[in-house]
Amino acid sequence: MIDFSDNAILNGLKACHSGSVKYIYKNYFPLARSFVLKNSGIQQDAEDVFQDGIIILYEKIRFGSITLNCSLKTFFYSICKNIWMQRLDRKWRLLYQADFVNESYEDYEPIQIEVKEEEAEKKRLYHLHLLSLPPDCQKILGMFLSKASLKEIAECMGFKDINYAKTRKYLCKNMLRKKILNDPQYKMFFLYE
Amino acid sequence: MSDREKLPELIDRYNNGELTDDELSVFLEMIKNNPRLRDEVKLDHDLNDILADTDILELRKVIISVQKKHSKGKRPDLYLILLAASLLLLIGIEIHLFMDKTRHNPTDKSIVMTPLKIKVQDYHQQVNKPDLKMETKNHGIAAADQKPELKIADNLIKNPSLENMIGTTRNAGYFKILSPIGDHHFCEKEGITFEWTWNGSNKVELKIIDNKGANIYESGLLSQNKISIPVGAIKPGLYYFKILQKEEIIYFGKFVIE
Repeated sequence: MIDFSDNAILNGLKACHSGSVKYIYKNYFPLARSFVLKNSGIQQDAEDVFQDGIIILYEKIRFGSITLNCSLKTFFYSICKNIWMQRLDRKWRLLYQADFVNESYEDYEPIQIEVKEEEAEKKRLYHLHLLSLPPDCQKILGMFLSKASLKEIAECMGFKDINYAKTRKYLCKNMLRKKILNDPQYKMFFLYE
Repeated sequence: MSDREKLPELIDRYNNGELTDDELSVFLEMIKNNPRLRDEVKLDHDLNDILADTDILELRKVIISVQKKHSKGKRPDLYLILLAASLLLLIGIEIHLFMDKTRHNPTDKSIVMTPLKIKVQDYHQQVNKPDLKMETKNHGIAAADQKPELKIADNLIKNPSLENMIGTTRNAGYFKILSPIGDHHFCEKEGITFEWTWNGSNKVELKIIDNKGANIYESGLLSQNKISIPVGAIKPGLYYFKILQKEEIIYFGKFVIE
């Protein structure tokens, strides 16, 4: 695979380019996964950490709050590591044993990067439930969230009037809320509040 | 519309600041007394904030797509393992079938003879070595798709009733058969010789019957302890013979003419 410069990857990620995401996944993810798996995690945890890590990295790029004093690989690994450590601390506080953290990668000294792990998980949860809604609901909510007017939504969706568009919006939003509220992962947020 | 049915709308309008004063006071009272509703309102507020960032939602879709593709990309490894296992299984089956086919459908003379010999031996063990006829369509050099046929002539089939009679009887006294012993095989072209020891005062006679019980040969009373049957007098097959004294059987045996 072609090696890209850190800047090229960051620019690609800023543009939501799938090539950048793929590059990070192939080249950076194995290290993060290794850390998660060595510390009470499973493959799915590692995949979740990867998603959250990319989103956090993207937000840092977008808001210009990223200063690379190391390689992007190290930076991304530190994000993922921080996410997983916070998550362990939050969810499995009793299971988390710092002594057992196996830092076998000497080149990857942990860097203190601020990550809002809980927020990242909430976002992932909301997104996943939104993406699990019926396509028409996804479309309606997407348009509402993009601040489209009721008239525009009614026209786009072929609804007879704006009142029906409004009702559909409430129903879809309600469906989404119910799905999230019934998700055991969501309930865990309240256990630690 | 009931208040319950109106709730989704009220939640949405509350978070968008669209409720009238009267609606707001009623709704706040509902929230105060309903923790579940309170959670819903909070969640709705979060959703409005988080889902409004459509760029991140789009990025999420990209990430999920990459993860899915990667996991699909890994599948061939599993497929390869399954394929390899299937191939091994097929090869195993093929080898088994080939071995089986080779045993029954030889393509080489040297291969032909060994399994056939085994079959002959097996058969002989089963029938106490009676003669048998084997016919291969290719006379030993069989084509791959030709199967040798093992035919047992009717005159080689053992007669269970006669088989049970084999051996000396209580009248035998000091009679002892010297030849043929057991399931002796004679060659058709060599002639057949019967020989025994007998110190009885009476003469004995020899009778030969085929495997169906039909009389084939009667020697009449014999003064000596040996008799030869001329070559060609008896056709190949399984035969039983009896040595009699005063028409009483003193010995019953069998032989095969090949």
